[in-house]
Amino acid sequence: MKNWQHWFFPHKDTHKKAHLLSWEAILIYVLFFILLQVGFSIVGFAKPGVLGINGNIDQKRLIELTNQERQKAGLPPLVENEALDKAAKLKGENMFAENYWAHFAPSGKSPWDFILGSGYKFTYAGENLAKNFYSSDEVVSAWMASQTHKDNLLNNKYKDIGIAVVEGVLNGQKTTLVVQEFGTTEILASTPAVSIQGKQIAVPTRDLINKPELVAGSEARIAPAKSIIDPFIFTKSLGISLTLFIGALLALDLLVLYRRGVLRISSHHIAHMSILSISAASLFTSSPGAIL
Amino acid sequence: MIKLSPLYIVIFASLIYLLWAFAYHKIDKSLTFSIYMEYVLTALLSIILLMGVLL
Repeated sequence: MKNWQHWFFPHKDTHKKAHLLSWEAILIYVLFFILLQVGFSIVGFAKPGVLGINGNIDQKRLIELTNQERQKAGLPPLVENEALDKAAKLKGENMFAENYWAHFAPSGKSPWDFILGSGYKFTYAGENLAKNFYSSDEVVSAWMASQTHKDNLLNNKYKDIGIAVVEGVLNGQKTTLVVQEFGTTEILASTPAVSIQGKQIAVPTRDLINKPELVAGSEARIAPAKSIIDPFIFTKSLGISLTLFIGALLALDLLVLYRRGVLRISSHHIAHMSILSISAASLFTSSPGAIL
Repeated sequence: MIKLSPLYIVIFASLIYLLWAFAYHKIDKSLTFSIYMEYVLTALLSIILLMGVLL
């Protein structure tokens, strides 16, 4: 048996496992993936925007899909509102400027600050957020799969909608944020409130008066070019390839030992294959998209 | 909201896998350092692969 074959096949005399299946090799695989994540963090810090997800999300398509879902539920379609579009854009730009992913900014800015600051005097409003999706359909599907976001999207109080798709650098990575604002200016019995993640938050009276108008593009924002590497696709492809490779080596090991009529104490390959299969299946179905 | 449920599933499956392996080899009196490392590192690899894409 040639030396290179010991890396892939069990030893012909000792029947020892292939080198690439030894615990030392598995340790190298583990360290490689840890170093890969550390490397991504360093690149994100040193060269913001080089890594990231290049989404292809269309603002008009998002409104169309939202209205399709409302019509399926027997609700009237929402009308695109210029002030709400502006509020969504300002909110997205602020998330990049202050480097956060939340409904409330670290500086204390609330969703209604952007809506009121854009000149939309609502009586009831709501906000849905999404980041790092590849398509408009994925965004709306993810919102519809979450009960609180679905309730917002299918709320019959809303009359108007505003959406912004904003690109920038968040935590060192190029990110596509989607901000969806809903609202109505019709007089409702209750005091003005905003629906966020299933919670109705009453707007403080002091926030309703003397709201200065916000100006689009007033906050610093880095507009990145297309990212060079998509860390999600890169890690996912490598992870699936590695699990398939280890699975193939384990199957080969079992086959060779069976042909030789040898039983090895540590050959519980079915257990190893099972745990790696669960990991590979989870990797395969995973998505970088997140909603809030 | 980040979908972490696949990660919890893999962590839970890894714990079951490790418990089963250690119990089996302990009863079988075949738990050696290399077998121990093989199981621990395989479980760790399964979790790290998923953490790389979900976190």
